[in-house]
Amino acid sequence: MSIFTRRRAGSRIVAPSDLDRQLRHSLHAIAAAMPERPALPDRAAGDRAHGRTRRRTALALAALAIPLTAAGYLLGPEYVDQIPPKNSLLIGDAHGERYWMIPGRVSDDCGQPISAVELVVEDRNTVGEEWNTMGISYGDPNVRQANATLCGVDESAWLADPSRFAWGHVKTAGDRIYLVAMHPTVKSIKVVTTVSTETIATVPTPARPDGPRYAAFDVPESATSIIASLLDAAGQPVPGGERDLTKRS
Amino acid sequence: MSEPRRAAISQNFPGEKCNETPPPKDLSVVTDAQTSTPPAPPELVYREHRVGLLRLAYLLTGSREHAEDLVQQAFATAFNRWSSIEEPVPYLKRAIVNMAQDAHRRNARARLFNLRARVEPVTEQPEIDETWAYVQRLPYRQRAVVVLHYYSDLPLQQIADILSRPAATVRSDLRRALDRLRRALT
Repeated sequence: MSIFTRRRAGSRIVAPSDLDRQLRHSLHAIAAAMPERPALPDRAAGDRAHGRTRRRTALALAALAIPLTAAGYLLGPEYVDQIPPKNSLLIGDAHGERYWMIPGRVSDDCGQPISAVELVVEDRNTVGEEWNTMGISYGDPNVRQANATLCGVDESAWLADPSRFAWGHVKTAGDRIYLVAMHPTVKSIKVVTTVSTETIATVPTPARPDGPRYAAFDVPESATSIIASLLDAAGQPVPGGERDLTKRS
Repeated sequence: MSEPRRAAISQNFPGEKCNETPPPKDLSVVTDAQTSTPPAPPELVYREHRVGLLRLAYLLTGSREHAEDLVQQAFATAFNRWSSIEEPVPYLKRAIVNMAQDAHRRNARARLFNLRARVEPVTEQPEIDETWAYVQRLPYRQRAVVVLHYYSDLPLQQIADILSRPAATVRSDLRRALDRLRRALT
């Protein structure tokens, strides 16, 4: 199994009351100093439409919602270009915090996907900023001894044992969102916490419809035990396929 | 075997549309110091609150031009159903906040396409302009929470109502925003 994260870091401290005061003062000052006329730029095509909208609305307050110009710019793969992301395999909602499981996009030194799937949490991924996702794969990473680089994963030992599975999680405000990688025969996963019991369907990636399967789900941060049980196509537990996700295997 | 969960997690297929920004809802639970009571005609609300709403939109978008568009669109959207809106100003604020989010997404693409956004000084007072520059770089929802809390002086519960998000999440957004700003400003 391999899990990776892409995230930014850092932290220092400033007195909260100073920051409160500074923010309040600055925002009011900025609002009061708002430019009188739009300083304008290079939006030749859009200007006419916006001008028309303003005139029409000012005259009649008519109910004409003119969408702002849609852009179709190409971004580098390291930046969030669209939320919700394209090609999501699962959509979740953890008390208002949306998240998506998508096919993995990051390649290792051999051009193989580092992770089969990635978890995109809306709060951590803003359009125009760098991706901040967690990925997971099924199998053991192949490490080339010569130069200690990664080259794909070895699934053989995992495929021989349907009870093996990998998981990782991210924390949000009040919840944990789990990402799980399982054997191709595992069709659903039952999750029992101190507050709820849920059964979540697993899905394969589009590239390998008969390959390993994946799931994402959220549980309350306060859950002291999270018992995950793998279920086969008949809904029967996979022998040995039960773990407490709060404990590392 | 129990039925796989559908409510919170649903399977999505390539090409299927996932989610869209919900249209503004009536704000029966939102109260605001600027609320017009009894209900005022749209022309009066427009005249009395346009500048305040424009400033809110400006703080959310950083652009006077976009702010003008948002305010006009908010009034245009509200106009046809004016009689059913109990509190026009909170309704308009909510519409502006929601529409600004869409605009922000598109602007983020445009900014990136043009390499980096330039942050123009507004007040010529370095401390204020620097703070404003960092506020503009916050993710949209964090920025909206900061603006609604520190400029509009709304409590977190009302902000949660406007943003249609749980109060705990809004609290978390605010905390993250303050953490970012604290790091940036020191």
